[in-house]
Amino acid sequence: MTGVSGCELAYEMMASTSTAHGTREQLLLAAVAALVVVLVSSSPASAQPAPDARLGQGAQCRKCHKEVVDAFPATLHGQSVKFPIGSDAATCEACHGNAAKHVKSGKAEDIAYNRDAETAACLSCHGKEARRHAWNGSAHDRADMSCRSCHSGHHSTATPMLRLSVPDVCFTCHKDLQNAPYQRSTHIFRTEQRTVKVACSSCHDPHGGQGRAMMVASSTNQVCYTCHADKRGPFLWEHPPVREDCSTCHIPHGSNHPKLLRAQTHMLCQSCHLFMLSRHQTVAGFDVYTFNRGCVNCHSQIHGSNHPSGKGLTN
Amino acid sequence: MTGKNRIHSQLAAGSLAAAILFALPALAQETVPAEKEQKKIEKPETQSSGDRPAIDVEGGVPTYGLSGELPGKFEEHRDVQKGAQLRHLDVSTISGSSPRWLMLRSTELGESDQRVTLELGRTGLWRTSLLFDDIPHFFSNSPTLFQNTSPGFLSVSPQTRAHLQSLVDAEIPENVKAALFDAVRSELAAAPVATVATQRRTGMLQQSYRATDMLELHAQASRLRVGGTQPIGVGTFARYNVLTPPTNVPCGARTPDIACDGEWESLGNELPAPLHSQTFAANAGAQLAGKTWTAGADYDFSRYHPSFNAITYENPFRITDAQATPPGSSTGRNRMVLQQWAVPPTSTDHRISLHGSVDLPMHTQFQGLFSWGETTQNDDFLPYTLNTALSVQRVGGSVNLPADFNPRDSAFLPRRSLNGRINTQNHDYSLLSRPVRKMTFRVQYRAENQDNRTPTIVFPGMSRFGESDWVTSNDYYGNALQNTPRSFLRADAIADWRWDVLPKLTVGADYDRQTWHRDFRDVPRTKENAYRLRLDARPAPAVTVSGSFLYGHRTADTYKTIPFSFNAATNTWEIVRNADNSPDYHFVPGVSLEPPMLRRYDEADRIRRDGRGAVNFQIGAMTALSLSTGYRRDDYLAGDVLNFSPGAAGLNFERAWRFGGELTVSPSEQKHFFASYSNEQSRMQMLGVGSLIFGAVNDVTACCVLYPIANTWIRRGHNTLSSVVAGGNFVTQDEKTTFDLSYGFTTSTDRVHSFNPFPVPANAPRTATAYDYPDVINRLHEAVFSVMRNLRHDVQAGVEYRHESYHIDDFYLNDMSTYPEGAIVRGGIPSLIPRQMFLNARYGSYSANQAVVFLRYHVAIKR
Repeated sequence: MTGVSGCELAYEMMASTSTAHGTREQLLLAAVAALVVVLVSSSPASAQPAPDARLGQGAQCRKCHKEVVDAFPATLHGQSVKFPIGSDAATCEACHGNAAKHVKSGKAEDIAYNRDAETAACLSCHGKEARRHAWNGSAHDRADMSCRSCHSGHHSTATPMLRLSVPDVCFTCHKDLQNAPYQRSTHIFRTEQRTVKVACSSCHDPHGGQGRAMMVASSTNQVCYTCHADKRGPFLWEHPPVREDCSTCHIPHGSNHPKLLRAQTHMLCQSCHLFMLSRHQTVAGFDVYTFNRGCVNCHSQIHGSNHPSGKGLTN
Repeated sequence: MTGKNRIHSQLAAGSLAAAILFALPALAQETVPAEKEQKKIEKPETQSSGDRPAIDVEGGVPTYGLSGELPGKFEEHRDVQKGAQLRHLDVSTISGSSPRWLMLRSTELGESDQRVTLELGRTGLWRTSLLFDDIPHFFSNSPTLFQNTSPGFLSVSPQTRAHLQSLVDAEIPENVKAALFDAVRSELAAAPVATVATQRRTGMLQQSYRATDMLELHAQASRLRVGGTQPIGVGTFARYNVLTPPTNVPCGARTPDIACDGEWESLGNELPAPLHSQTFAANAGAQLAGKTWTAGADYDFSRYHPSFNAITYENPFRITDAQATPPGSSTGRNRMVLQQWAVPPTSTDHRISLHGSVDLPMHTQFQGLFSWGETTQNDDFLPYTLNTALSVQRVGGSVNLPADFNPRDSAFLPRRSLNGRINTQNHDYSLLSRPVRKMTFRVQYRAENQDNRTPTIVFPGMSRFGESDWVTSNDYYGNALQNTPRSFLRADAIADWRWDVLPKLTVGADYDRQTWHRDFRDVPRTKENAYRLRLDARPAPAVTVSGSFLYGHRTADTYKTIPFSFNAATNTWEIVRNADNSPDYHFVPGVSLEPPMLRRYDEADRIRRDGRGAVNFQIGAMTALSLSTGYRRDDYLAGDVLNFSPGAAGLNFERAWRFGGELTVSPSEQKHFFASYSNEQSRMQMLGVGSLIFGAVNDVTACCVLYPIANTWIRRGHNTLSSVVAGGNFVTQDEKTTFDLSYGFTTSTDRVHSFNPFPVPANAPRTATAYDYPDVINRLHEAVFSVMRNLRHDVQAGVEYRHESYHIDDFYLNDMSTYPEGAIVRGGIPSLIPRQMFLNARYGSYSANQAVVFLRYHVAIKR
């Protein structure tokens, strides 16, 4: 296939997948994919694999671990050995340690890495990546986790080489959140193919992160604004807890109430606002305002309003 | 998406797969002569099935049956199809013969919840990721009087508006009431149906490149588009005067004062509001890494932009503008023909982050992160109102406005736009050390400093009550109508220690001191000291135990209040008087008009206790059992309601506990079973206080409810959440057939009990009795069963069946019929909700059965 054909095919695909909402993302996707296909198919071979490393890779290990060693080259780690860049190559010994004693004795304990050694082996290459700089001292590090707690060095060919899907890996330890996908409102909702649209890694960086609870941004609100930038403001009329921390009113994983709220609308509002002038009879009774969205039926600009007459967050 | 479009999309997806398929030989071409020769020798032994590029495609034919009123939750965030479906299309070119690889993962192609990720790279050198993701959010289809006739504009038929206004203006209460209800219902019955649903579409490109052994460059660009229709509420209730013929004496001046408050024609509307916005974000950065140090920098940019700055809608009840009469009173509201709801404005965010780490002697590392960001917004303001009949020149209200002051003209705003600006600094610095082999220390300082530089704007007045009244500072006890740009500083100083006492016992402790400094809030400063102890142990080879306990105490340095005091003689809150008996209107900007008893839970004094524990058993090689539990208790400063002491009102406490267990059994590689159970309980208590409009008559009618202080209540909530999940999979001996079964059941109940600790006066309004709310119940059953058979080594076929049933019983939503007959009943629970124009944009119970026949084909690409 020539590069021109690839581009044409990609363009045709994009043109026919038009929806009411436009096609520019799809065009971008196809154009870049086609471009990469063209570049990859026409680019010369780069660094040549070192013959000795190739021949030596796993030769001793294969005698007992045939299946793993034979499958290894077809993984990303295996490729790093065969086609190394610089000094980084995930050879058997690079990750598992000096094999001399183990080869002689055949005992697992003669090559077993402890947690710190495992982590150091992974970080010798992956520590150079931008998202790994905060691992040391992170909550997962302090919980005695290693890279292997979540990742499989050579059994998974999928990126990012997790043992299970993202939520299932996290729920292994964070069992208190296992119910979240089934609650009345949840961020961890699934399609009928069980695809999780907003996975744990959308908000958290399990390798350390920048903010509290290993968030991917410096604060809870900055994470929320990634998808909910309409709440960012600044607004003319602000609602203070919105500015400070979205989790003052919302539970980010799952809630028994709509909109991931901590409580039914009027009860949540009344936790802070009790000076109910005449009409606001939701205070104790079963009232005409305690329906649908409660207070937000009228105070719909609850996150802030930019209207000159919006002091009451109604418009 | 229509069937035709879906077929086109699937064809297009197939074309993309074909394009990639044609490119595969190019990707697999990087070999060297020595390897080719070697492959000739080793080919039968070394070439494994995983060492080939491959395509996996799965198609199916699903169908489903769905029952229930308002069953939109079945498709809340997913697109469940009937007819041919491309379920998965995956391409992978990872092989041992080329350092370049490509992975395409796509699900539900052509559907409104489709997801496509394309990753390609050269191992160790660069990686490109492309994501295309759709997330639908469906509510329901709903009849509505509002039609989206142009961007950001909702219109109502002029005939409808004229008809409804004619009924309202008649002002013969009893006749109008019935006629109005009938008219609204009949108009809705004939109204078009709108689909209330939104769609989020994300396109993202990520690129990383290892320029040198030490330097990594990365960049990302994304665009999120949100479109569709969302429900938003606009109210304030419309109420017209009841004038006693023949003298037409207005409310407040009649004797006896019977049903003085007038008749309400509307409590507000729920709009099918159009939504169209996009967020563009970009990132670029670099990281340098040496043997003992790292340093990096990132720049992030984000811009949110809506397609229109307001949702303008026509009032179904008005064809001509009018204003509240008498001006400033509580009747005659919602008299505007047009009103505007301000859409969140365009905002831009720039952020620079620097991070680094350096290894120090004695196994010590210092890490630092600093970021500075600026968020701005400067959209032009909307005018105060669009009501042509609204007059700002009312008695006691004009506040020296010029004679030509026109609230409908933006030129009469104190300024055209906000010029909002918030600067944020984030700091995070840690020192980690392991000076001795079994002990680690960590000290950390983390801070978020948000400096709101938005200017303060003083408004001479503004419209309210459905833009039918003009309010000035006179209506706020003489305090200026101005915004309060709030800033805050949140800082944590943390110290952490861990000690491996024994090979199988680790203990730890940490301390966190968190302080808040806030502008324009009741509490300018809080500090919290929190202490935690941890334990991790392995008392036996197959048993691990972990536990932790936290104690935290937050105190508020000062608590600003409004100068109200309680007059027991009149049972009212009053402004504190100066020495000369004049009212002290010295209110503090940003501190809300609340009695001094109230404490807000996010800043009030609090004691927190949080204990957790877990134990895991590995029973033989096949069975694992884990048990976990937790208890958290937040106690807020509790005052004495009888003496109106500080802290009496607001949230008193929150308590939550949880228990869960999980059992997994894997008798062999072909069999796996699991079962889990969890139960969570939470309780809360809050104390509420009724209050009084200053200067108003103590009216005890159902609508006005000008409470005496005895209208106080304690509300207790009890929330439970239980779930059971079980399932397993089983592969036959010949490994050709796989069975998969899972069942999940989740139920939650929200129970609220309210009671008034005081004797309730005989003439107290209904709400003083403080009765219980009906329970809110959610239940979800989900059962999935699938059978898959390997027809050949590269072809699998299967059947999947899913049953889902969802039950919701929520008094908030149960009876939402528009404009039913009935009135608020004193002393009882009204069974009907009068006079609010809700959409059907909510969820109800449903039952669904879905079946899919699917075929999966694996194509290994031969070289």
